[in-house]
Amino acid sequence: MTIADANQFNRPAVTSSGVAVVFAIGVLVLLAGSFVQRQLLFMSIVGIALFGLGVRRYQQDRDSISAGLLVGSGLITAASIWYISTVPAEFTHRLELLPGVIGLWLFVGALSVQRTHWRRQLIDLGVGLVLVAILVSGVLRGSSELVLVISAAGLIVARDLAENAVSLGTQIGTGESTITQPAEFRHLGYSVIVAGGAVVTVLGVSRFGIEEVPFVGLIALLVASVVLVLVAYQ
Amino acid sequence: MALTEDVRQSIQGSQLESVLDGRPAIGGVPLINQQSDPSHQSSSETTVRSTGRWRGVVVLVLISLAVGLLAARPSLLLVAAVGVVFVAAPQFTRRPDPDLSISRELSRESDADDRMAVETTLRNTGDRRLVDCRIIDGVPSLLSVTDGSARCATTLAPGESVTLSYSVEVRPGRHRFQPTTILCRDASGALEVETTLSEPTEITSAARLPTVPLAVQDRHRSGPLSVDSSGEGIEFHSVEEYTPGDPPSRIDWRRFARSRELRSVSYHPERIAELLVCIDARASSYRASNPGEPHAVAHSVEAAGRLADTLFESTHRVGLAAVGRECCLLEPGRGTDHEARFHQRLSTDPALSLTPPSERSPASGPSRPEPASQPDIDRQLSVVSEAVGSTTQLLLVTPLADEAAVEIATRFVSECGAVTVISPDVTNDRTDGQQVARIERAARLTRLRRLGVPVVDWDPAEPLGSALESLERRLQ
Repeated sequence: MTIADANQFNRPAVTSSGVAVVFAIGVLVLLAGSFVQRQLLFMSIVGIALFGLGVRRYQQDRDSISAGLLVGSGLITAASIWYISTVPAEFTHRLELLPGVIGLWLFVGALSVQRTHWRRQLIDLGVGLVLVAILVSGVLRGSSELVLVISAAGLIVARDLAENAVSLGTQIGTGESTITQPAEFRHLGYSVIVAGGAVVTVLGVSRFGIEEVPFVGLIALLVASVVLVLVAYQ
Repeated sequence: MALTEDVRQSIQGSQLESVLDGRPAIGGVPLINQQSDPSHQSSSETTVRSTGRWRGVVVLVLISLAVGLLAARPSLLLVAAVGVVFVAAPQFTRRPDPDLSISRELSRESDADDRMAVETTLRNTGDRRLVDCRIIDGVPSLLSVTDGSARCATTLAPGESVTLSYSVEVRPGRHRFQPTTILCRDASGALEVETTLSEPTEITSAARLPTVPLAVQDRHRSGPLSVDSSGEGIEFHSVEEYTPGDPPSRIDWRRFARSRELRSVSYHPERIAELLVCIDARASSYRASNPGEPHAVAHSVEAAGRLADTLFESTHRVGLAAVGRECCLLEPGRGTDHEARFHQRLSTDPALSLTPPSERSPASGPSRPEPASQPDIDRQLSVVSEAVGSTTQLLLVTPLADEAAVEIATRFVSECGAVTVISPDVTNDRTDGQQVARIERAARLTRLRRLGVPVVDWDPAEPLGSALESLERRLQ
């Protein structure tokens, strides 16, 4: 086994990683309500996508193209972060997009870099920042329930697929001849079905007029359900 | 002297014969002997563990709850509720219960090269679908996969099977397939069940070692260990003056017929040796020259097997010992049964496990045992020393990866007597740290040589026979 062969166990599975990134991007697209936000988000996505490709390529061939991709993607991402911090007229729009883009960048980096002991922590940090974007969108901009619920479901699916990609990469590897897609698609199907079920259930329950239930009562109900689930895990 | 590894041919096992169309193997191609017995299939006990996949989502739920509470936004409670559904969903998925059967077929890809095609088939014999079944075939650690993959992740419906097809490059020696590891996850990925399936398969590429350097320490019994003095044996030593009492069989009768002069022919006397092959399998010996390359313990096990084959063939009495996470000891003996026991211990004894000891979290891969403590190693060394008799020679196989390895060798020299060290070199010089490790190992070799210990410095990329011959030349 060569070093290159051994490195196949240091990369997350490709299919699940790719779909996870698509879900994470989808969450940010949902949150970007204004035209300016969408433009800046598009610029960021281009920069982050080039960054992911550059990192992958740099690990295989350390040539001028991969170096150029990394430098170019760095410049585009830095510029997009600068624009996000300064261009949108409303401060809440900046606050909404900035953690999301940085989170996406960390998320893509965690799934692209070949050997890192911090991969899972980087994924969680990236997901955490996108969650901040969702919460900011809910608190400061008053995004609709539909957007918030779908964003949350999409973010959890992205994290789940990323975790699955990492575990598959560690245990099975990502060699060209290694078949992992059947298990990856099966898990993707499960995740999407649960996400769909969660969205339908939560939106369905919200239509029963939960606004009339005391807010503290709602909190108590949710905390109780979390405790119930955790106890069931034991 | 050039390497004269005697490559022998024989084929056993009906499966391989059918693959090779009954053709005999040709010269120059190593003996490839595959033994596969379905009656010996076994499944180890299973380990169930939580992967912790959804713990992060619990944090997401709690953060959303807190922010929703502080900002008095019911919509954020819905975000938390989505998380609760995801966290609760694994409670409704069934725990995987893998019930699989395994079969393995080997075939030589062509007569010209040493590559073997391996096809390992796993069938779901249970009545439940395995939605995420990760299979890692137990490729012998010294054989590298040259084509295809020995791993896959798939789903298996009841009765469905999956075949892993790959090629391995065969090296000289006996190579036993390790148990195949199966990791099954439930649909949510929250639970993982680990089990192993054994299909005893062995590839033997027999290349006889030209020599094994042994000290002259005999038990005054006739046998094939050559010593320097003259006497009875097979190999010619010298012609001497006849002295009354010399047996008639040693008289040179041709010379007597020619010149009526009585002379006696002497031969190298040959004796049986008693040897103990001791493998240093401590945690520090599980080092490899590169990530993914076989570690030193794997090379040591290979060397021990080949040394034993050569010594058994010469009718010596051979035993096996190992120090590491456990103590392994098989007293010296000979005969077919003992030889089989030797190889069985070599391939299955926990002390010689090819899985490095580690304190890694089991969630990141198949579980691994922890290394032994230093007091435990001392106790194991005492056990081995006690087993070594006054006439037993010790072949210590160690990569000399740390100072403790030298201490072990010197302890054996003081307690046991004749010790030969065979050291697979797994160092390289790619980084500063690796260069230092190489220099330190060279210093250890020099120290042992200065103490009068014969040391074989073996680069595993080169044939073991060459390294043994070079020591023999040095000793002469």
